[in-house]
Amino acid sequence: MPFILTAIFLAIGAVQLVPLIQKEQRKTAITYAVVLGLAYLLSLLITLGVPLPNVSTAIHQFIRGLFNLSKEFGAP
Amino acid sequence: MEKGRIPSTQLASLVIAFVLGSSLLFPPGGTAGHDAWLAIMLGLAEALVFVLIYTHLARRFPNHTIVQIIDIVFGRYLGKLVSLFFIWYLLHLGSLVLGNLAVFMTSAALQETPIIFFTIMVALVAVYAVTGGIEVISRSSTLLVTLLILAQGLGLIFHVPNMELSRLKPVLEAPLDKLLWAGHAAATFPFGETIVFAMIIPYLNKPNQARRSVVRGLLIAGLFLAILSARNAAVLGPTAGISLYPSFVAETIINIGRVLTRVEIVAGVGFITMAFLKVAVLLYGASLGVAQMLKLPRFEPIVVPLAMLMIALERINFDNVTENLAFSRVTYPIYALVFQVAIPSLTLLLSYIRVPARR
Repeated sequence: MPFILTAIFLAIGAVQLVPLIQKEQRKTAITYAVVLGLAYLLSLLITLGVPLPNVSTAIHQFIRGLFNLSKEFGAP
Repeated sequence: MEKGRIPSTQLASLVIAFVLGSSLLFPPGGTAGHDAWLAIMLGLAEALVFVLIYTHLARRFPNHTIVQIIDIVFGRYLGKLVSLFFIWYLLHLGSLVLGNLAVFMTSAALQETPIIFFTIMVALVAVYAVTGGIEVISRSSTLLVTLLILAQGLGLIFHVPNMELSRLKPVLEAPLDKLLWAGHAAATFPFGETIVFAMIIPYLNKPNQARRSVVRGLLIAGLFLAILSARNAAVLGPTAGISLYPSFVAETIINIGRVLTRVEIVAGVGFITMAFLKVAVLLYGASLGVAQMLKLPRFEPIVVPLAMLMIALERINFDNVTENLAFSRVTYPIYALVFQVAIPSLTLLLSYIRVPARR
């Protein structure tokens, strides 16, 4: 599965990144590469089964702790 | 950067589609029981204040999106940081909508299909729409919203024999604090989320009509949601509060002479199309935001990687639906305030202190 994922990301990257480099849109190409790289890294870690912290759950726990929220407000 | 211009009527329909995006699936104000319709009206009133803030900001800085305004008001470096927070919100919200839609599809219809399949499919269509520009998204919203309102309106008529209006009584049964909280939750989801339109308002062909269009769209969508919520309570009774997808469950009950049955698929298609439009608007806002923040010449090239990031985020949002519910009922009404109220208010306040009005 990680190989398929890498192949997909490489294919998409090549199709979109090469024209940007050819048109000398350096800034756009760097932004593209950084965002795609981040998406790839996350996807790879998920595919490999690496336990990642849940984004929304982390926000939930932070805010719940910060405001000392209880179940009174309708939490299941 | 964005060459397209949209008329104010299309903005109103886009607002309706956006508001109905995932609130058709998860009707707001659910914690208020059969008073949910009342909570929705309260939330609508609160959200109108949010709208006044960001539309005032748009009037003060005509032809500027909120990311550009933040850059002007906060300065080069702090502005980028605040913009990054705002863009994060759009991406995160997009991932939440993708997740809601995917979970709905796997739990209501295609149980054996992997969730990732739905997120990729919806994201693909959204990418296609976003790369076409704001005109493509807004035109498709006009068509899809008309069809949805027509279908839901017919559904409402078909439901008349199943309704028991006594199920809506006693009105104001929910304790006041619970009702107010449910109202506030409804203000942040879905009405306050229209803050993303601060990225679209400059592309109106008559930007001075922005406030009127957004308010009109919000009122129509709010009324629609309130009616739908009252219908759910009148048809399903107390089970409307327990069901995860009450609107969908209510549609399954329609039975006109044993001929017209199983029409929930129509509702399901409506949910999917609205959610697609919501994801498309959020992806558009995020892409345009990144491009404007980094002063890139075009936003189209970064739509695909941002969509992929949105999909990846969706995978690590929650472990299960219970966590999702806890987040949306307890945390989201506070978390969203930062982006829907705090950032626009602070920007507006600072703009009066630091920047002279641009006319």
